[in-house]
Amino acid sequence: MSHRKTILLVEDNGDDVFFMKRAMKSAEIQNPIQVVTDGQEAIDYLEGNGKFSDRLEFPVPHVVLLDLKLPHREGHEVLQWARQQPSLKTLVIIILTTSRERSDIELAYQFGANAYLVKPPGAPQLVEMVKALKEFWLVQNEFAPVASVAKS
Amino acid sequence: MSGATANEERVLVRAPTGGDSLNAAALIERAGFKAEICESLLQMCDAAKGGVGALLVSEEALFGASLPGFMEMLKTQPSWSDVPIIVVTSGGETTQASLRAFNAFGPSGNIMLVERPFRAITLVSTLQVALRARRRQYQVRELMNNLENRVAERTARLEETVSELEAFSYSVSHDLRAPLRAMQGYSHFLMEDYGNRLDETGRDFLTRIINSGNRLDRLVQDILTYSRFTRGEIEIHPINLEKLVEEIVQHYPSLQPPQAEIKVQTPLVPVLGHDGSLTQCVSNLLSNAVKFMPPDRIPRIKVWTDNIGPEVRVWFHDNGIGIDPAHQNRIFKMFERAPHQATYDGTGIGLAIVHKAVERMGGKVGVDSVPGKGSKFWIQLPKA
Repeated sequence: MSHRKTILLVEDNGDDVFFMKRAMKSAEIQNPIQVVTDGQEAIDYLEGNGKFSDRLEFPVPHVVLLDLKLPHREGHEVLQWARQQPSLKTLVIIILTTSRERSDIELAYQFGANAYLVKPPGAPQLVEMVKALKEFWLVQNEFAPVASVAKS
Repeated sequence: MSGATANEERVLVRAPTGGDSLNAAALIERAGFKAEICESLLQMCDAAKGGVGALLVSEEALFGASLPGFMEMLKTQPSWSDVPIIVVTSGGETTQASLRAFNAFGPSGNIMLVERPFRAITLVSTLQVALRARRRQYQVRELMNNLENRVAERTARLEETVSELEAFSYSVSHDLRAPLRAMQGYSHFLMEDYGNRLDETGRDFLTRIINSGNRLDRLVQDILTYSRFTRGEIEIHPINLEKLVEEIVQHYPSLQPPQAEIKVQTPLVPVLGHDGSLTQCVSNLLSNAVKFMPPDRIPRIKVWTDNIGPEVRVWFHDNGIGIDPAHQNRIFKMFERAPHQATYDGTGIGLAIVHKAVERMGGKVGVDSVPGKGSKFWIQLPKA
């Protein structure tokens, strides 16, 4: 019954997962956070394949935080794939990466990323970023109706 | 090996009467050369395009409407080529016609005169000299082609190496950051969660670890920024400098009162540049300007533009510690910092980034400074 919107974190670096979870706690984000650690797993999760088929345990996310440098399938690939799926066209996908490369940024927006964030250097800055992220995407932002349909 | 084709060994013959041409051609063929008769100067020009060893022309043929075209053909030869011309003159007294023919080629014309009546052996030996010289030209052509190919090949290999190196330095810097960020994060959490269980010395050590981590991270980030400016294409557009400076000042509290006073002498002349690169340059220069200050002084920076011909020089004049002239040339290089600036925080890459970015936009950068009296940094870009 809880309508807490799920956040899917696609991140292969265990330290970054730890930092992100801690920053989310500091920012008082109460939404459930699911973590997958490579590109293929991200696609499997979004498709509801295999172990992810139980949508009660693994709900369709409202927001995806997607790293770019990932094992198996890179973030850009996941993004491009998602935008080709009718049910995932309007999913909020935010790139969260260490890369500030022009080509990475350009490609991410070309493929339909909703935002592009660069992992900040320190923990306090990460908390600031996550707070801003919460305020904008979870509090102020209205999600596309399709996203809620996809919940079923 | 001269690499000459059969056509390139032939002698093109142009005489005013068909009989003369036939005679000359027969003589040339008998001597073992290849001859081809041209009906007009124009036809000779056309034939020459297909390759020619030497031209044999009688002075009477060097008149008329097609002469300028003929001269043009000679002038527009490739750099290796200077086709030998043998002009058959009327002989005896130097006639007006001979003079005119001779003068038409100018002082650097590659011509030899053979006077009528000539002995066959005279013409053959002259042709022999001409064709020999021509073969030398073909050898030069061959050498030039080889050289060009070699240069192109080596340039390609060099470019490949450079881009490999750049990609390498990028991925190294990138991979360096991951463990570094982990160290920064955990040392921060250690302080946050366990700081009160450490004594003063313990906390001091931890603070030093955190500060060093931050410094190393800035260093790696600056190297990444620098390497970004060495790669990839940038697009040049007109830029509203006034707006760009204003936005940068608004973005950094350290550039605003009471921490600093930045006075922009409007109007700033618009320039041609790349928005992201120029923003990086101006913010690096402004943050340097406020950074290198004696402790008790409020930074005052003046920004203005001067027209210098088709270019604009943008000035950043600060009231900081200044730079010894001995170091002024070095500070734009990677990792170079003026020695007394060691007490100031910085990576020594900021100005190298400015230098690289301005260079990529086709501009220049420089500094005028007197120690103790502030510095005047400038960047110069084309006017918008």
